[in-house]
Amino acid sequence: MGTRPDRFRSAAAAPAATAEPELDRQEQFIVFVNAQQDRAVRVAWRLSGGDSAAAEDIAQEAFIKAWRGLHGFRSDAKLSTWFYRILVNEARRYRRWRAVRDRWNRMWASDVSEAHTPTLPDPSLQRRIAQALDCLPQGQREVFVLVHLEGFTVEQTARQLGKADGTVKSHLHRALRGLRAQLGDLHTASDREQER
Amino acid sequence: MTLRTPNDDHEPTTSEDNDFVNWVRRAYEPGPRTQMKRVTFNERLEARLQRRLFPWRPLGVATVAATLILGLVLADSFRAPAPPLELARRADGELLLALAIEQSTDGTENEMLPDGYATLASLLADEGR
Repeated sequence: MGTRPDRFRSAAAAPAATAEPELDRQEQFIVFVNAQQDRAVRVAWRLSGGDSAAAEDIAQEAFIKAWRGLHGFRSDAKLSTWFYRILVNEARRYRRWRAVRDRWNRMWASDVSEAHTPTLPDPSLQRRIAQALDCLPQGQREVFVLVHLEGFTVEQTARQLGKADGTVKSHLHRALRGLRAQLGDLHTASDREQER
Repeated sequence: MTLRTPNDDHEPTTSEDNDFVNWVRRAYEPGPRTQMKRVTFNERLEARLQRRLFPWRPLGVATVAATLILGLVLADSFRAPAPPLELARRADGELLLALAIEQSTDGTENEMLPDGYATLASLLADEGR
């Protein structure tokens, strides 16, 4: 198994995940890891509330689980759809764990620092957005991140989340209304600053 | 980047919605990922995949260790009765040596021979006479 790092490196040079049909599933997966790594971490970051370390861990765990379940992967489904479903599940798991941890910290510590510190560009603004997203129901939050922030289609998102297209659209609409209600003032203020 | 409305049958978004979503997307984005982070990620993934691909490795090591320990225990248990055996062998050797020495040094060999042999020897001696 000492050759795997070389396989990762050579796979990184491959043009696209589906370009070479002769590649076996594992090879495809390695190509996929290299192609999707940044996006996976970014999606995880957005779903986790702006926690960089957690995002790396979530993406890592999702790739591991995907690899482990590769033999059960049905080739009629798209690899990315299948993978992002795993990633979303991992992000949910992380959020549940974080909620328990935060509750525990609140019980035992009077001074609880922020569990996760969003990074650039504007930490305070990112924190506000993360908090607003946290306030949304899980389904709305996930749909907003996947469709509006990550650019997945409604159809792709519906398959990733195992929901009907109509449900996704409904979540999108409500999420947008909810976020605009919470962040509208910030958005307007930033618009005014840009106009100046 | 404009707001994606992939399936046009879902509620159309206004330009204000578009602006808002674009603003959130720009503001709520992680910092750029460095090449070092990617390499670290791949190395960590590689290490974890190796562990997953060879899950029997720890089991194999444990089995070998258990076998060795069991072997040592069994060897010890077999070695335990060995000292009496060695003593018996040593005793046989010493007896032979004693016989040889006694035969050569004094005439007490009849005392060392079985009773039957002594009787037979005396009969043969009588016939010889």
